[in-house]
Amino acid sequence: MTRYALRTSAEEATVAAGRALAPLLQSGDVILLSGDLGAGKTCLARGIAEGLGVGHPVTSPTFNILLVHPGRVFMNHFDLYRLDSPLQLEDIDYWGTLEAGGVSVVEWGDRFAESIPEDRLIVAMTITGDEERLFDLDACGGRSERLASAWIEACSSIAGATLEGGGQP
Amino acid sequence: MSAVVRDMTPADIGAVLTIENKSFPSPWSRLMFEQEVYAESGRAWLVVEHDGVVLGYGGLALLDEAAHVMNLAVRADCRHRGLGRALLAHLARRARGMGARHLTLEVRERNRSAMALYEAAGLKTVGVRPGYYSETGEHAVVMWSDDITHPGEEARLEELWNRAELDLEAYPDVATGHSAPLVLGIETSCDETAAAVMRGGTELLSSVIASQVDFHARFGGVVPEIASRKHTEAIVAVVQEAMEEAGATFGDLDAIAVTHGPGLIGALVVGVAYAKGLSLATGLPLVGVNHLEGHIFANPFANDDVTPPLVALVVSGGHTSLVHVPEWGVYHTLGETLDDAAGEAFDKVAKVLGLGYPGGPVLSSLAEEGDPAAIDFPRAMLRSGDYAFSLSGLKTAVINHIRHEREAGREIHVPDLAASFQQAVIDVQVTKATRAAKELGVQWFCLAGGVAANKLLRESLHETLSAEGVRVSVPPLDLCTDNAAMIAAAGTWRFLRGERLYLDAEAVADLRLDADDASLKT
Ligand SMILES: Nc1ncnc2c1ncn2[C@@H]1O[C@H](COP(=O)(O)OP(=O)(O)OP(=O)(O)O)[C@@H](O)[C@H]1O
Ligand SMILES: [Mg+2]
Repeated sequence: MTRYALRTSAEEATVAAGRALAPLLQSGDVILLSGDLGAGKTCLARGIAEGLGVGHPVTSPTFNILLVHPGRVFMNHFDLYRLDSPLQLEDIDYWGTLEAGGVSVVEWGDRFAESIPEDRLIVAMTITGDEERLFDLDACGGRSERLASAWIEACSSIAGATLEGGGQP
Repeated sequence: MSAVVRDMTPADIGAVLTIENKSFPSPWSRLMFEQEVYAESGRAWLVVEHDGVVLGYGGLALLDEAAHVMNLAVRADCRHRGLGRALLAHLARRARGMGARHLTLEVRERNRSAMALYEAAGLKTVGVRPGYYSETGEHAVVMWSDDITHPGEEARLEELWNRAELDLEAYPDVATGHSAPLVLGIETSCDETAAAVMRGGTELLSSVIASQVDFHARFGGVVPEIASRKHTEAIVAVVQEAMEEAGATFGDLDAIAVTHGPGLIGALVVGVAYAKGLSLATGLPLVGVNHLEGHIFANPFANDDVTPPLVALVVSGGHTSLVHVPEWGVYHTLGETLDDAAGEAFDKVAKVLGLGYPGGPVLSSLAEEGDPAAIDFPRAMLRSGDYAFSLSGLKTAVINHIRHEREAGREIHVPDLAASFQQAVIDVQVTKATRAAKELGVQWFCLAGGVAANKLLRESLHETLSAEGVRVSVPPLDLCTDNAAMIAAAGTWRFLRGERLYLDAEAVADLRLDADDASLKT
């Protein structure tokens, strides 16, 4: 298991962090986003989508639960906020969609133990100021750990994003 | 106005199929008609039309010297008025022009009225093909005309045509417009499983929404929430309930309309699959409706004089779209939300205030006791010059405000906060709506979607737009949120336009409103 912490000082830095993650992603990857309302999950997802070459603004999937965006690799943008039971994961074909490919970004992704894949990358976002957000990366499993460390490295050159401490194996 | 006979064009095929589907046990498909209409030569396909409405059609193919009448039908409520004879006389005229000497055709042995028509036109029975119609095992009666180039025969056919025209003059009200079809609407695009039955697109006979019936008592089932499985469990009972309430059977229906997008794919497919199955089992034509278009069609329920050109604002939990509707069925999205939908912002702010989820309506009623000027929340995109909306920043401003007040040890005045938030949302919506209505010079403005139930939004739009001379329509309260009545209404309109979904049609999660009119124009 690896942990990293990243701080962004503006919305644009969060979007840029998402954009920096995109080139590292391949079909089958799943990124879980967690954190309170307004933490910046959709902002980060927007950055990832931009980086994947999605040509339109990525809106909040809360109501629709799943919005699929075509890009270099297509992106499944899930939001589990409105689900109130892990049983509903089956109803929305959560695992089927994840396994069918594309990059999957899941807001409120740690809402249920059942929604977390074995090899997991969770980005827990906290509001630390009006314009400031702290991301805690929790990576577990070969693919997710490699992804997290490559992403953190890619973020080092983003203005307004600062890395807090190093990876702790 | 009297009826005219003219060449069939690809644009007629929708209307032709409606008659075809109701006239024959194994109707021709769209493809079959298309192949005929687009055929290079050796074909003649005609429609008889009154006041822009297709009442009947017929066609022939030339093989050597014989013109084979391949198909001929007249709308059920327009039969016995000479229209079939008129079509046949015209076909004979065309056949002659193409060099044919005879007309020939096959007719079902039990179709006495058709045989009588052909006999009156001078065709005679020359033989029988046993079991020709495989679905029913019926024999085909083969009929053949005398030489149609013979002057006597020519004159007789002319006479036939003249009499037909006279017949029609005697019934000037034959086709004063559209008949009033009975349409079943089905909606499963997101949370609600709903069905409704309408006559003529105006008279609502039933409207059933699963979450609003006591399902447990009635069907021993559960209310669907989000899930496709729940839709699957509910749909049969919901449709059954809608049919019962309307006092109709599937045999009484003229068409089935279903929401085929946009929405959650797993939910949409349930409605679409069910509707396709029903269409297949009953032979009823199927019509696809865009969910947002459905919301706009909830307006004529409240104001039957609503007419395009109009501007509509569709505001719900999942949508915030300003749409220009120059004519029914043509949509230009002027702007949408770039992040959160308006209804979503209401629900999330309510949640932050501890009012539960979804608490938008509770928040709005609390706002009535608050001061809308208490907190100066940002009006995002107010002066952006376009019609886009952004609500995530407002959500964040509310969250930040609460955090600051807590840090300062101050109590939060919930009604003031609710009122100030609501005012910020509505100011932007009203400003953009008014600008769009003025810029496009429309007479009507239609509000639609779940947030259309918001009292202040309704009132503010009324006030501002009325001052500009624009009439404002809002749907009845119960038809603002997702329902199937609006789908039946939009579906009826599309059905009468000859629009169809075929059995290979699929639900489209990101179906665009604007893309739809392209398919309408084919
Ligand atoms: N450093 C930052 N990074 C990201 N967003 C920020 C930052 N600073 C401020 N913001 C603001 O926070 C908000 C984040 O909203 P967003 O909709 O992305 O949150 P979310 O986590 O998706 O919320 P929800 O739980 O409602 O889905 C935006 O309004 C954005 O402008
Ligand atoms: Mg979000």
